[in-house]
Amino acid sequence: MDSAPVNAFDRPFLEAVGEALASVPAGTRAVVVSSAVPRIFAAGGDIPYMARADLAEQVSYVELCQQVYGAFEQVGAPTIAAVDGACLGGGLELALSCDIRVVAPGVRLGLPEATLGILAGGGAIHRIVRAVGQAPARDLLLSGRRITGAEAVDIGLASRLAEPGRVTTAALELAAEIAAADPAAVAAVTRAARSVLPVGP
Amino acid sequence: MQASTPDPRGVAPRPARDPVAVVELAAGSATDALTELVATLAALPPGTRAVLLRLPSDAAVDRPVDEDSVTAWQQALSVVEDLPLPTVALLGDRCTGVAFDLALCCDVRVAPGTVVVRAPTPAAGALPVGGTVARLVRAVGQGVARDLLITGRTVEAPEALAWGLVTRLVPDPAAALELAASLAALSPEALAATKRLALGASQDSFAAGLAAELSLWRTVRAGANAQEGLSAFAEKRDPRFTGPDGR
Repeated sequence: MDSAPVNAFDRPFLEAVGEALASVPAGTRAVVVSSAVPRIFAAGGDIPYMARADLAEQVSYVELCQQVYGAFEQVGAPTIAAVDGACLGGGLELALSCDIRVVAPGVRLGLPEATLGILAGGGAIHRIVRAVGQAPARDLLLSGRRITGAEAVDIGLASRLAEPGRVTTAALELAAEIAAADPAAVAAVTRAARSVLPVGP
Repeated sequence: MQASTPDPRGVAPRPARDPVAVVELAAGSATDALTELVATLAALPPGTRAVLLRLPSDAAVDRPVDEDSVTAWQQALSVVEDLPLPTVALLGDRCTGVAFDLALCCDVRVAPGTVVVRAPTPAAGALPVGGTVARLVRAVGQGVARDLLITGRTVEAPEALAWGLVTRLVPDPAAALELAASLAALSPEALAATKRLALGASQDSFAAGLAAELSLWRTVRAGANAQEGLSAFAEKRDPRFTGPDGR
């Protein structure tokens, strides 16, 4: 992702992310999503746009968010988010849609939507509860609190730490490891894991 | 028990028409304390926008004695969990028995660094009948929950924090009140919708969940508080959200 200054998910950029993902060639064995913008993974939705657009247009924008984030769960290969900078709102919604999150210990992650009077409507409420359980999820969702990458690993919101500046490299190394395994088996396990409800009724 | 009572242990008295209701679980029989709690919550002032529930270390540890009291417990705990307001539990040094169940029903759990937590289980001399099993699994996942439920082990602060049995460790209990006040300043409808969706996320299908997120997003966005929050962000100022009482 390379849309300075903060990789804000305005409609054109979000569409570009969706197109990039759709153009992943068949036979790809792992996908890494990272940022070319220093100190930022993605800062989330386009707030000034949301503040002024009419309601129907915004609802269609949130639908687009759901589609693009959800596409990371539809790719036929494992998806890895390399989070080496701030990962907020839509940025974390996207990262939560990936199979694996690699983070630097000092990066900030959070879903501040509730502090803006709205909700994380791109699927993150359901994804974060399923990722980490109700216990940490409702605190993070209702308070909008930002946590560090190290805290994210402690609670299972991310599963791997890498040094700042080396996160994308670490994610690519991990992708190469995954790519070395039997692709049909990896795809089957990935598909199965994505479809399980971890904290069911 | 009474909402917004001055705190004998160092939390300052709250102003009149306070958006934070401070409620303390009574000592004595747990069934009586739950009944009293439900009555207090049903009578919260209309301007209430967050609840701070104090769960002292000496809170009751007895368990329901018959089928009727099991039902009463389950209903009372659901009332707490389903409150359409953000709820902050303030734990003491020990959290077990009905305090453990109540803590799991709250959205945020604040505790001192000295806290020890123990699920009410047979190994701890209690049956987890108030919904403890389902809530604990949904809270922390099967990986940790079955150990806690089967062995009744005591959990100290660092593990409790990592698993979410407590979500924040604080040196001073006053931090819990500040946190509740900061939640009370947010948009009530955004919080209520987020909470409802989050609770539903342990039970609904993912497709239905996404549809619900979109639908509630639209409802909340159509309100004045969402406009205020987004405009304030765009204009780089602090938002001022309005409660149900117009304040």
